[in-house]
Amino acid sequence: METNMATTDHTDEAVPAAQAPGTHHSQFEMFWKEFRKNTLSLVGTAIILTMLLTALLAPFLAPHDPTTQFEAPDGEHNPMPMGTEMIVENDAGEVVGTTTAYLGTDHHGRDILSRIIYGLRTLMTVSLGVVGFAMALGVTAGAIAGYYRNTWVDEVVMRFMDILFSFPSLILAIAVLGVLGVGSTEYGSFTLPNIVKVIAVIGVVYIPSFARVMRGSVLKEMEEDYVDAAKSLGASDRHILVKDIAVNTLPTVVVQGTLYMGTAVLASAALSFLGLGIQPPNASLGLMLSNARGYLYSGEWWYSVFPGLVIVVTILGFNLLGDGLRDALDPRNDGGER
Amino acid sequence: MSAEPDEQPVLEIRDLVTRFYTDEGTVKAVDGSSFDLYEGETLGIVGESGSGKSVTALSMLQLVDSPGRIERGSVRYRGDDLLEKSEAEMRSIRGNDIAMMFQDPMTSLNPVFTVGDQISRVIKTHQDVSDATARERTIELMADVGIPEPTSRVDNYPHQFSGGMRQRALLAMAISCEPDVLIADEPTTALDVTIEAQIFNVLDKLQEKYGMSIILITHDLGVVAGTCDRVAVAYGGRVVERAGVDALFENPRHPYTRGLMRSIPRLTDDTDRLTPVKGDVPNLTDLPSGCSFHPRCPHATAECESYDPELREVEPGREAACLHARGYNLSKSTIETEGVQADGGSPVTPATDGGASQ
Amino acid sequence: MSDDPLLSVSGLHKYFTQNDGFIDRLLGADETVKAVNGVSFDIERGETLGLVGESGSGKSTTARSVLRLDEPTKGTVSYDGTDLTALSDREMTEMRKRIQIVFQDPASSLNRRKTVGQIIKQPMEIHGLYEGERDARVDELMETVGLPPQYSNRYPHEFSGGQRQRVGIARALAVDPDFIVADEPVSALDVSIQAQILNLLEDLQAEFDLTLLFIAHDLSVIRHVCDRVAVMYLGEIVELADADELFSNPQHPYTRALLGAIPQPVPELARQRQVLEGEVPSPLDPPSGCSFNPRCPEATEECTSVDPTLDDVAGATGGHQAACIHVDEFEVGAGVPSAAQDVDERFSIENFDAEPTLATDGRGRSGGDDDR
Repeated sequence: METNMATTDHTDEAVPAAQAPGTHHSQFEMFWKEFRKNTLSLVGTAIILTMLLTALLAPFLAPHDPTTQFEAPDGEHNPMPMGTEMIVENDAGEVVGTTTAYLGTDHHGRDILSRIIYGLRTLMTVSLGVVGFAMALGVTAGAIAGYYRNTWVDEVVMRFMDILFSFPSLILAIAVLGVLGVGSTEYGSFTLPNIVKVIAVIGVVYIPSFARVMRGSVLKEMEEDYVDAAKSLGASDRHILVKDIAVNTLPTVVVQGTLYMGTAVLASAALSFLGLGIQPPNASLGLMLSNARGYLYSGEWWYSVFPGLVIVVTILGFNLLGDGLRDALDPRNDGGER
Repeated sequence: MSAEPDEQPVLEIRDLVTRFYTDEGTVKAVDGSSFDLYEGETLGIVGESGSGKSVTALSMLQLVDSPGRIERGSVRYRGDDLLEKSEAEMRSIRGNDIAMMFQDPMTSLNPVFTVGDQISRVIKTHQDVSDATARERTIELMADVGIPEPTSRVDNYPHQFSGGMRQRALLAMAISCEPDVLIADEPTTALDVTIEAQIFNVLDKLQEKYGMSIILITHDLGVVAGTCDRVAVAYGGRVVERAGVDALFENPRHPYTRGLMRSIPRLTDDTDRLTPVKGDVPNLTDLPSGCSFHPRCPHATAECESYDPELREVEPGREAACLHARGYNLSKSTIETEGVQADGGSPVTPATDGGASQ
Repeated sequence: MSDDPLLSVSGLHKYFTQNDGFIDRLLGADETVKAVNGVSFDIERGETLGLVGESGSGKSTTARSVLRLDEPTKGTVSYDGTDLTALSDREMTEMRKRIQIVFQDPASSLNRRKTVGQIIKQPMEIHGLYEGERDARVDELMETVGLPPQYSNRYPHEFSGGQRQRVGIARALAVDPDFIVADEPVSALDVSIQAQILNLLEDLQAEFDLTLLFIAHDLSVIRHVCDRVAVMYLGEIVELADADELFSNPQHPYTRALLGAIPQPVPELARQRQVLEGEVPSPLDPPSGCSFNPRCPEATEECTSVDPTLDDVAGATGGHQAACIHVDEFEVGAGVPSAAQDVDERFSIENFDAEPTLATDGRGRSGGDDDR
């Protein structure tokens, strides 16, 4: 090879066609290929999609208004078992016909199926709110703490997180709601809706978890040379954090968020169960369980079992989905190094 | 030293095939590797990433994990085929008869136990000795591998050791049962040159003291030149050239070996421009047809794309796997059975071209 | 273009504190590691300066301090007359258009969730350059470094190590820099690929008038690419000279030991490999006097107390400097035999010496090869 060819010959020693990169796959294709390998992940996805659609379409799917109280047939009293024909009255109290309560009724004669569907809607709203709230604050805090690691910023943010983390979740929620009172609170002309309060009191204790995961994830990414590369290109801190690091931490955060959905579902149900969550007559699965407690041993099992089952299946669905996402998004499966 | 010794080899690897069955396809990590290791010698297996050299070592000890599988071949150790041994039998062979030493001294030691504990444990696994004897032996071994003040360092934890000292500790562990064969997989790749020189110095002394045979897996031709007696050059999952070290460096026969020798920067040579091997290292999921080096080979001809040359003797004591290597006399019958046309011993005439073996 | 050096580093220090925690630092529980301890060197326009040393020598930290990826503790880094250490962040950002870096590990230096095109485009976006022609420039840059432009929408993991390093080089070139720091650019690559990348760097240097700071632990690589070489040990430069001078006439005992320890791919030389005993001392507790004295075969009593400065080597050429009080006592020309090399000839393609019969056979047989 002649030296005078120096400036022109470097392309030919590069990549012969046979060595070119293989078939191209988008990031989603690669993710999906991994994800679909696990049947349980697909089951989880199906469960969560069903639950979300049901919650979203509650007004169309629920056979009845969840607050309508049906009269039990003559000689019977609510709660009525599955498949009972309930008497429908009009506003004037006249009997206009009957309707089937497929999953029975509760002690006020309300259709359990309808209440479950609306209850699911409440539960999903609260849980998504909780995770969204905790994630937004936690991820931001964690990202900043991680990026400015070992500075006073990191120290202040993370010690504050430690303080938050030291509160037991439900007890904090009970205490805060005890002070603020359950139900909507009026602050002058401003009304703090009850649901926002519930989301905030449950969500606040999850903030540190997201902050820690995010901080760890950012710290790991900071070790990578591409961060230095971006710095040496003159990118601002914000640019590096948002455009370079965030895309790489996103999978971790999504997995964490999904797994915390299960926990959030349980916590919202528990708070309702204690009567501190969504207030009646709004449908709430936790509240239904709480009310149904008294009927479990008297044989009216359908009152408690169906709402309980929905909670269990929902949590299971989120956990399966979360595990599946984690496996599929695991950086070790990125396919770069073998 | 270029001719192979007459005696029976300690290890005789024949046509070893190990594959990994992944979603991306079958990885032909070891694709018909053959070589011998003789008593008391150091054999270098030299290759780049994708040469299958590390998997070859793992396969010899049946240490290939799922999704990998040893498909065929034989690994004869003093006459016995190791691939037919049970897991229990292999456990008593590993560490005792054949020991292995890995590249990364950081992850190969357990951070929660003292270095001494970890060496003693290997001794006690294979020998029925008291704790005190094991400890004594451990201190002796640590001195052997050149760890200063072994009587106090024996109670140190790995993090108190430098990289070089950790690699010495791993070496002590590997030789603790005075193995017949030591397989060292890139033992100094993570270390600085001055430390590397120290380690090979120690290895040399130990080989003399214990009479081990050593297989040294490396990518560094300089290391091979300095420490090995014979060399196997690996490419695309198999051995493409075998020779005594002097013969190999004097006049390599395989175009890949020659390409490597041409391309490496040399301390004794200050020409500005290097002569690279063109193209990229092969992907083991998708090896080129025929000779896997042909896309990068300056001597490749049309038949190199289809004919896959096996390793054969090109002169006494050295072998190469290249159709065009000097001394690689391919018989007519071999070419025919492999499906490449060969005609009547004389140069092929245009008339017979393309017709025969469809 | 002036005759001043493009880069002039003077009295550069970089200390790290051992304790990570902010509170520990407040409480003053500090241990200081002097990673770079008073390093000075110049780089002329268009030249390649090699910075060589073992791990812990401070060579990478020096480079990072020059680029202000780590803020220097002390000292000045004058780039084309401007002291980089005195610049505000905003001014430094502007300066980064002219100074780029190529990293050691191409797997880590490319963002794995961005396409190669996005990666190469990023510097132009940050500096608002080539508005409207960025895609065209990405294609052009990929061709410049020897990559097919049609793969710009692929992700880094779809490329081989060598190809990824080419992407890293293309990114560095994107803003048209004058100066590139190459931090061990080939040490993570396969042996047969290294020469490709080294040649590429050399071509690009000629094509774009680049000045290079080339960091490596491998003296053989350094010899091929560098005009001048600085040898570092424990945070200090111990020897600095023109490359030819350094290799033919190494003066510092450490340089000699390093040269002797290199395994050369020639059996007779490799078997004479010299062993330098001991290890690089902890920078937390450096030896007194000359930092090399505990390992130095030439060390005397005096070496444990006198900390030598980098001084001109008497009678030597090529701006040869060494930091050793015994330099004058050493013989001249004890370096690597710069023997006329027959390597190129011996391993040349022409001398392959193909088997005649097969070669003849091969020519006539091409038609039938497709059937397998």
